[in-house]
Amino acid sequence: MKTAQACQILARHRGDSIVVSTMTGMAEFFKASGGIKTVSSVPLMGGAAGLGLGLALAQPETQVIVIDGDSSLLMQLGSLATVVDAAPKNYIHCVIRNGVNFEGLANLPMPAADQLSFKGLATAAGYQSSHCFDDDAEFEVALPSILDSKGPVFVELVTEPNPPSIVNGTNRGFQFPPNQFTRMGDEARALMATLAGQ
Amino acid sequence: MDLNDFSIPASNILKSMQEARIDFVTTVPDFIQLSVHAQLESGDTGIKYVRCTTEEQATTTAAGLIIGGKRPLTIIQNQGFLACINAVRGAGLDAGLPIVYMIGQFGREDENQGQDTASSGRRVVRLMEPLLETMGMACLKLDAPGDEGKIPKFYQAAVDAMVPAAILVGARTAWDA
Repeated sequence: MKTAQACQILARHRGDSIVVSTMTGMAEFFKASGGIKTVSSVPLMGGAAGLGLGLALAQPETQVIVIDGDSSLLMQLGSLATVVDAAPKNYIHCVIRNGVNFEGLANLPMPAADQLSFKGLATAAGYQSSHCFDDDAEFEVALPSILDSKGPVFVELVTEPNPPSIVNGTNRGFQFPPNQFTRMGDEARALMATLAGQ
Repeated sequence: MDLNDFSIPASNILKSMQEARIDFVTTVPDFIQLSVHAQLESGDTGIKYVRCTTEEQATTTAAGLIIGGKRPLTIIQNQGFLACINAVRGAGLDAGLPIVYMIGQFGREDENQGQDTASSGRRVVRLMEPLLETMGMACLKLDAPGDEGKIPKFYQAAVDAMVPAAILVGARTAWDA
């Protein structure tokens, strides 16, 4: 499964959920679903789980889907315990497990990429249920019942990274867009307005 | 010098938090505010209490709560604030979310009470005020009983301006009799 496929499936099934995303999953989810009821943790690697937790606690009647990154979650691995302690029933914690940093750019390997089981970590932390998929068809079939189950729920999505595009030492032609540095606030204010109007 | 001259009773701080309509606390526990934590852990305050494993999580969870319409306060200590500066930059300053911290001045000497923290022998104490100034964050110092009454107005000012802000707790909070 590619990261884009995983995010397209999430976009098809998100319904009215709030989605908090980061890193590669953020870029692919935005392509698939746009910016409706979303908050991007950018540039703030490691922030998605906490942002989603706060939203889930503030809006207990609304499902919150977090699309985390594997290296991002490793930065804040203790967030598994924080989430379990707060026990939000409306919290779906997905992690894109592509095994690399800067997917599609440099594909620098994540520590312990071949050994870690995020599903195992989430299970040990005490999530209500934990799942792992590497096949898009299987994930799409299972997702509706996962979204209907009591949270916090964890879903590890094993994806094959796109090949690196920055090679041979050239950086020409690549810059992060300016909205990379403003979109979290822009999306937060839009979501605040949406939630206040409900 | 009597430390009691500088220690604010936890119940007074809780009362001011309630007046500020704070409904959530996100926290990594602070040694300076142990008596405040004890009251929050009791569950009798009406304030929901989110235990976090890092100050970054306390920051981002507060950010999510604010987006969701709540009024959180983030209770940490000075070392923790140093640890989460990038999260403050991202969620507080760049995203413009009014994350309000209540930060204990861990390590402050009793002899420094009533004095400028610039004269503290502890770097982690001395750094806080100039660091907040560098970050452009407003600072309210709770240096003696009575100062806690300024919390509601200070909190609301941060909310109105949509900026993060910090309350510095200078001495160990007192346990109620």
